Amino acid sequence: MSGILIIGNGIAGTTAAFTLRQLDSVKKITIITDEKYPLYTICALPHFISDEVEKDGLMIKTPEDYEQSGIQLLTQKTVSAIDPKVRKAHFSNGDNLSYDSLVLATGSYPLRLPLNGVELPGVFFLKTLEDAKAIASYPCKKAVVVGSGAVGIETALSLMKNGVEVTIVELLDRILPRALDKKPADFLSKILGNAGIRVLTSEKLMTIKGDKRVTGVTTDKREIPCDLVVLGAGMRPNVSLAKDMGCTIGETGGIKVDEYMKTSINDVYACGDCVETNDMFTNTKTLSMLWNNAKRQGNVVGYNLAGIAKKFPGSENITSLECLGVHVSSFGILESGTNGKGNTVEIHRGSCHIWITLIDDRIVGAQSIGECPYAHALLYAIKRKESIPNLKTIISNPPDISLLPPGYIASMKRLIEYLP
Amino acid sequence: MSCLKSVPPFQKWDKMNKVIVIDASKCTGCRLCELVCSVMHNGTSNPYRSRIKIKKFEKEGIFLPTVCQHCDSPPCIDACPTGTRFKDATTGRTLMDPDRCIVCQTCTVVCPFGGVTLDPVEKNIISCDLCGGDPVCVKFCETGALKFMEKQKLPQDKRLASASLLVRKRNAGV
Amino acid sequence: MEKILVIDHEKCTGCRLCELVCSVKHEGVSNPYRARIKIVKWEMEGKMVPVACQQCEDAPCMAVCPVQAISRDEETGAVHIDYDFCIGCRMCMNACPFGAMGYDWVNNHVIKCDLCGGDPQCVNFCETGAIQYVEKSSLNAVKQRKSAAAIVDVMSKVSTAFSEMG
Repeated sequence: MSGILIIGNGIAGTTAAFTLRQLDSVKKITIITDEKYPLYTICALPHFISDEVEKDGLMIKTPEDYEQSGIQLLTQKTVSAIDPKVRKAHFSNGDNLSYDSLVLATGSYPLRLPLNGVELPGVFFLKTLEDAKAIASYPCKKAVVVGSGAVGIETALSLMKNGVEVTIVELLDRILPRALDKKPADFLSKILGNAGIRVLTSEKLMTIKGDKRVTGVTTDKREIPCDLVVLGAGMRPNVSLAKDMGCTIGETGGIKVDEYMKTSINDVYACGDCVETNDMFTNTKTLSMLWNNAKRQGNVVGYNLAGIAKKFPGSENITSLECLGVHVSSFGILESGTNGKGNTVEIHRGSCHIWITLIDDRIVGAQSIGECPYAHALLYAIKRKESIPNLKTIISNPPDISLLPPGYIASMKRLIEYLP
Repeated sequence: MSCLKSVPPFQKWDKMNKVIVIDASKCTGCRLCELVCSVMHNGTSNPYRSRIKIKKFEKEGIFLPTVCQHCDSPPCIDACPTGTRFKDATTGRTLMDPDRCIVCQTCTVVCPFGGVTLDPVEKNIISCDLCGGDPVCVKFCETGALKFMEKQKLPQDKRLASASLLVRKRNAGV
Repeated sequence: MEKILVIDHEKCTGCRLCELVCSVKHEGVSNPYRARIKIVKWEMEGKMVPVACQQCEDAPCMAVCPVQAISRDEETGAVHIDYDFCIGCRMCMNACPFGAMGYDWVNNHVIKCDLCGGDPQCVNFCETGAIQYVEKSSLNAVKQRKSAAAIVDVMSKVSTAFSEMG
């Protein structure tokens, strides 16, 4: 019995291993990672850079957790190829390992922009703990963060907290382009600007300058002197192993899996950033690339490996982060993603600002900046495809947001009516 | 009766598997639970800092207590990107390790009940911890809208109530 | 045609065989606490009331579920829990007026009658016929026939009396 081989030590692979162990105390489980650490959270790496979280606070599992659960963790090992016909994984050092079932949890890698100067000292990606350590220890006074996804924004904030003068360069016309429409994005840009972070949108990075180290960047509009560059221009799924072994790759570039997270090859599963899944809100194929989705996918793989059929219901596009004490959240569809069919209702009340995207009178998305006590109600209203019949009332009168959307009230009313 | 000595002591399900059960039809919206919760946890009487919140629909006359349900497959634990929220194996409660929290508030967004919130004073994430096994909101609820009981006891009580109703109505009919 | 369980508690003797076979069928163990049907007993009065899921048309459990994990099974018409969606909040247990939504503390999730996929075992094993598996359209058939027979009986007596009166 060769057991289960899991390639990748992120949240997806680790959850698959520990879920399986809870259900099956016998099967041999081995996790391979090319890093040297047990499971840690990459989501808190920006907070590690600003010293808000220590290294121990990043670690989610200790080596003892793996030992106690009888899970073998092989660190600093790279899988170079997999032969599904004989069920063998080959390592870069020449070793090989047999398996009964394989889980590809190979994650994602930062997109390398094909620019001059990318190899200069002082240019970093932020994906691993090693990256974060390098950024934290690199002396700098001015930094440019390229890309304004959640990682880019949080990194910019961390550097600013360390006393660095930060400029964000974003190719599209707004920051957090996958989470916010233009109006809320500009609202957030102003907050960042007030804190001293320069935000440049609709601007393209052309070259990175420097001789022995980075000294500045050139965009299509200006020169920006700096001594540190963080490239956060996007992530791509790590599918080279899957492709080489013959797994079908989906149209989005992720490994194609069915609802049981099985790939096109027998006894080979995949989960996490590397897979293509169905987006629950838009009902289209997507790369999920969020912790929440990866964890739930890992759980599904664990169940299926234990012989219990469990389906993955679909990925959720939920963004939630804290920017200088201001909560920013987004879920569902953006108005810019509705192909002109949607319209936005704005609700501003004190420090709470909400933009709700509607198609006809159905809520399909929401974005909030500031303390929104009803973000959860909006999320579930979107999941239930609630409609707001009194759209006119909401637009014309300053709405009292202590009243939840009528659909939510209706279902809560029924709850109470039905209680004996 | 010396034979009784060999009988093992009765296993009390003390604090194990017990949760707060809400009967919203009994809630009058007095909000005493909010006050005692914040006194218990913060030493101040401030409903904004309570872990249990009463959602009021004044026009409809509905008062709905909302609090962490200590779900069996909690969405907040799935969503937490730092391993801050976890399940306490002994009591089945959903708890948090505040040292790890980066206050991303993903948990507050994914909780269907609004059971996880941001404390407006300390600016940290708070949710019901069942007061360590003896929830004060339950003790102070005068109408019995909040009860503390084992998860499996709730359907037992409801079955008794509905079966009694059936028998009473049947007797009246006959 | 969809069928549901119809219970005549006057016929129930409280033998609890239904609970045993239900737990064997679903959990593989003979443990009445893990059954989806439960008998509520008043031993002194001799009243035994089986409580089972009514597979309500407008199910409160379905309405209250925040993640829409409860839906109607296409084949049996039963109210069905999709455990892949279920978050275990137990709101459905709170919403059910009958207490028919139970809790399995071994596996930590809610449990309910699923009509055994169309061949309910409790019906097969109930010796008095207290539980029947009846088509929804003819739920009242037996009672209708009984009361109709009683009416016919009375009418025939009345018409006899009239004809005797001349």
